[in-house]
Amino acid sequence: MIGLTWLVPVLPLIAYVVLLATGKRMSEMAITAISVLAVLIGLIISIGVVAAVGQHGPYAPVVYNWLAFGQTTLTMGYQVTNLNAMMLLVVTLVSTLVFLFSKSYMHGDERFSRFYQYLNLFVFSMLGLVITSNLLELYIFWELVGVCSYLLVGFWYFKPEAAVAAKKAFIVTRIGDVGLFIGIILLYLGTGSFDFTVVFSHLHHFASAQASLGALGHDAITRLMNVQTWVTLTALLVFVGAVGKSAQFPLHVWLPDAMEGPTPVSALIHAATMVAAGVYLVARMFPLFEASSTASETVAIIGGVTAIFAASIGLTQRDIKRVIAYSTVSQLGYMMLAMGVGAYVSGMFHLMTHAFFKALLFLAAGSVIHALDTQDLFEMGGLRKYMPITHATFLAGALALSGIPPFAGFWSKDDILTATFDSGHYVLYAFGLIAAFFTAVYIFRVYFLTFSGTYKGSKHPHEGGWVMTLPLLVLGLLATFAGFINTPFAPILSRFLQPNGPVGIDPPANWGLMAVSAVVGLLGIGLAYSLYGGGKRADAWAKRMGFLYALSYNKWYIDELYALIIVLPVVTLAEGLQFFDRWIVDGLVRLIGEVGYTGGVSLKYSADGQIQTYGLVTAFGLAALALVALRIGGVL
Amino acid sequence: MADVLLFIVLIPLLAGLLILALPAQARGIIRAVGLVGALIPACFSFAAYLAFDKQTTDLQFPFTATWMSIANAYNMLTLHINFAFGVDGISMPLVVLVGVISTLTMIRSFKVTERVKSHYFWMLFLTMGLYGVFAAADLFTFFFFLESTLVASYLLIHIWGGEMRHYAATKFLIYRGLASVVLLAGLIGLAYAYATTAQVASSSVLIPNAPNFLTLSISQLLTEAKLIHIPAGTQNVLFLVFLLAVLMEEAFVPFHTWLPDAHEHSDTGTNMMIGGALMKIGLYVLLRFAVSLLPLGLAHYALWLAVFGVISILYGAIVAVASKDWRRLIAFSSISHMGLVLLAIGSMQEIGIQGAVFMLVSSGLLTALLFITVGAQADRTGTFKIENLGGLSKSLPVISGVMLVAALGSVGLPGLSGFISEFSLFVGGFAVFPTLSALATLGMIFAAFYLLWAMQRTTFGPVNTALPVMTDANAVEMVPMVILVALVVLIGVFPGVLGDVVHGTAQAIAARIGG
Repeated sequence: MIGLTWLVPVLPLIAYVVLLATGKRMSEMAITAISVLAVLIGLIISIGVVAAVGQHGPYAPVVYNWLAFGQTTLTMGYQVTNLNAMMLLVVTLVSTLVFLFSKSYMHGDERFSRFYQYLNLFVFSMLGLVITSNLLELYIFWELVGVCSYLLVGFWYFKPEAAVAAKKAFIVTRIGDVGLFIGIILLYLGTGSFDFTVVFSHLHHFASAQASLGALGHDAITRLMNVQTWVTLTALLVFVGAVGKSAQFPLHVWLPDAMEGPTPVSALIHAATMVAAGVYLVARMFPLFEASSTASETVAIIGGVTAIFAASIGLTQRDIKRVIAYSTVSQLGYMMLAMGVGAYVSGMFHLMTHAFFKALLFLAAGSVIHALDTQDLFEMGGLRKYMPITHATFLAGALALSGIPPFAGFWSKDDILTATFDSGHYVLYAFGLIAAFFTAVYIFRVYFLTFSGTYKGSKHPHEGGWVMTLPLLVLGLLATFAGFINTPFAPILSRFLQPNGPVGIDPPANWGLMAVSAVVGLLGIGLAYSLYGGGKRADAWAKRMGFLYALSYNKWYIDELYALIIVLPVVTLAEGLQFFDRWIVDGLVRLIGEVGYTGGVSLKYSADGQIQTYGLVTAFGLAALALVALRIGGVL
Repeated sequence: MADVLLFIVLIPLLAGLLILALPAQARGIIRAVGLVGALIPACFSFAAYLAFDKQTTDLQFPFTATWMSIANAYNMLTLHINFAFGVDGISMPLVVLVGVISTLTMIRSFKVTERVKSHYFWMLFLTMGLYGVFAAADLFTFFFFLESTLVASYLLIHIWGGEMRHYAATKFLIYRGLASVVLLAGLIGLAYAYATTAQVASSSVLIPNAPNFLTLSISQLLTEAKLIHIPAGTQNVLFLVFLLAVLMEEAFVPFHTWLPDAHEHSDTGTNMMIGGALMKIGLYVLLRFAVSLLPLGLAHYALWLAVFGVISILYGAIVAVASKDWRRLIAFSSISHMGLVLLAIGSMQEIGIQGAVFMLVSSGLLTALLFITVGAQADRTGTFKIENLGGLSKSLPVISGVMLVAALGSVGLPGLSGFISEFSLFVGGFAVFPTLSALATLGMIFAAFYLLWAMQRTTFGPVNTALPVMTDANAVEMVPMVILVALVVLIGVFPGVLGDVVHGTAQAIAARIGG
């Protein structure tokens, strides 16, 4: 199976090309069949790959020469490590389910084929990103998933909000990407390679002072900084890329707006896979972060702050998808927190369980939106009766997200909190715990508003057929049981991800902390019930909270702040510079022209249109210049 | 195969002369002759590219014909004025670029209905000039063809341009004319400086083809540059002269204001030729003469190049944000991209030089692609003003899609040619000027901002009801768009198709400048 790994990303690429070539000529059924088949075969291969690495450990990279690049040669290739294999499995699994779900969700859309083209291109890029063997190739796929996200967020291009959101998503992540771009270049200039294995072995040598920076003989970097500064700087720059992609504070603003895209896109790209790429990047570059405590502390703090900050916004949003989007930001914060405190396995564990339960929540929300044609929570209600499968699976996802045992999220989130506590980050632990409380409140607020009470709309809601309910059921099972892959009783994933000895920290289970986080989750559900379920005391509470409510509802005014301190100055600067360009720089040019013209008026009768005269004048001019040149050349 | 470059340069001229002999009403035949006159040399250039020997760094496919000899021109030396051609790894790709751009422009120009005969004549004349500039192996030959591009493009702007075409054309002529004069001074100075030095050194160094030290032959100058060094002081002065010429020729800030005007007031075909091929000359001059033949001068002014480069990157990108007209936006975007090339050349790294050729080719293809798509939508909507557009994806899905490819290519999206170009240039830049290069990366963010914002206002959003009912791209637009997209993707996915040809020469230049 290992030998077939390259097929996993290539199959969706083939599907993309086939759909691109046939365009609208193919039926919706055929388009879905081709796409689902491409990722389903990938899923089967991935299962084989996981089994193989589980048995044999990581495999050596397979690479091909791409371009002669100065003294080095760039390569393209793939590498199967345990981490990569796990990601392959997660991505193909969620993709298969979302591809199936989309058939019904996008049914009748004028650009149905285009939708699946973009999805296939995305899955190809995401899988490429996951199994790449070097940083440059990672960056290439990193940008490609970004552009697919841009295309899919703006899929309904005629909606102005979608157009703005697509652009915003691209530009904000671009800011992060530039950080990663610089980081990769600095890593190359320091180590002479883009290959993960080479970069890591250099880091190893730097740590034992066996090597110095500047493998390619460039001294500009060495003059600017010592090895430790270089390690910290590159780690931070790589992390800037992760912050953009994984929508961490302060670059989180694009993800909630990206909800303008079709809901299957939100489930696949903006919950389960692409946004997790930032966390994956930090995991892939773990040796770099381990080598710099400053960088890891930064990762932990950004993660912890994002977790509580985004959760606080999720409490009050009216749009069902936006609540879940802020939840995603918050959960990605947990994963970053894990990476930052060194809990490598916990972070990846949470990435996996989150992929399942968050894709589930989005698809269930999609099922609701599909049925009601609204995303406003206050226009829903009572759907438990009409949509029993959606209801049951959403509940499983909500319990998993809230960290209620034995659902998947409990095990992974608890691992992270335990590791944070154990590593002495008590403030961040408190942040995580408060965020967990908020999480339970906001997701059960959504649950009660959507499924309990009485239905407020006029459309008759119903389930969307088996292509919609089957993915929900599969993900529902995963959200319920996937946590058992890494319990304190049987740490299967932990063993799988650390074939060559421990990576980072993996503290033993702490039953006390486990009980605390479970209780916090239950308290959150209780509060949500009293406010939105039975009690209906929400409005009164909102009034009592006053300013805090406004702060949360308006997303801490971050968008407004950025508009004021970044967008406005940039646009003003551009307008100013444009004015300067037209009236000062070009004005000066025209002034010189005018002076020449006025001077020329007296000579204008010599300009008689005779080419010979012009030629003569030119010849004299050239002769004069030639004399100057000869003088410079040392001839005269 | 030996005289292939001669044919490449001559065929467009012969086709042009043939057109002059045709009656002006025979538009169909004129267009056909124009297309064939560009297509045949393009095929030849492609064949030459395939036959290009990647092992040698000498000028290949050499051709020399002496035009006149001046005995006793200087110190008893004879000066041969030659028409000589020959290409190496940096000029070969640019010759093919001219082939691609000129052929596609001829196809696009089928849409021209005004003064078809002279339009095709001057287009072919410009094509000849561009081939000659990049294929020249002699200083005189180079300058001769440089001047012929000036005449042809001036007339193309002047006759077929938009509202303010006379103003724009005159500005274009004055700026580029001035650049040519300064450049001529540099070229002559270069020849004489080498002659003087070679003659002095001849007692100790054996120089091939001696004793004629006074030469305009580029290949001989390159050979001499390996053996002797003209004095540092002379190199510095000459380099400064070249730098001044290049700053004007390539429209670097603050000598740039002619370019946005020229682009804004030219027709689509002319813009494709100017943006796609003509605007590569300045940096080619820098690489061919100043970098290769004045290594000490380069070292002396390296920081200046980097600073001028970064100024152009940021200035161009910021003004592009405020540009209201698509053509001005493209002009400022191209100023910004060329600034990055200047920064990388200043770094004197092999990878920077390779990246420079990549960027020249890539931006040539992408600029032409942007102009053809922007022109195609303007032919239908009647406007280039971004604020008057919107929702074009609905009525013009193909043109909008290709426009998006061009925009993303300019932003540097991997998989398209812009990425590997930008990446190579930045690796070169960071190796020597980390701080300046970090500043330059702001240009990457601005590029995403102005291009995607312009796309949002052009192709996204609700359909603009003020716009007429439109039909999507026709064959005359489709063929150039498809070919350009295919090439942009080809270089993006398999950069080796270009890199293999460039690599050896870039290595040789780097060895000369010590990078």
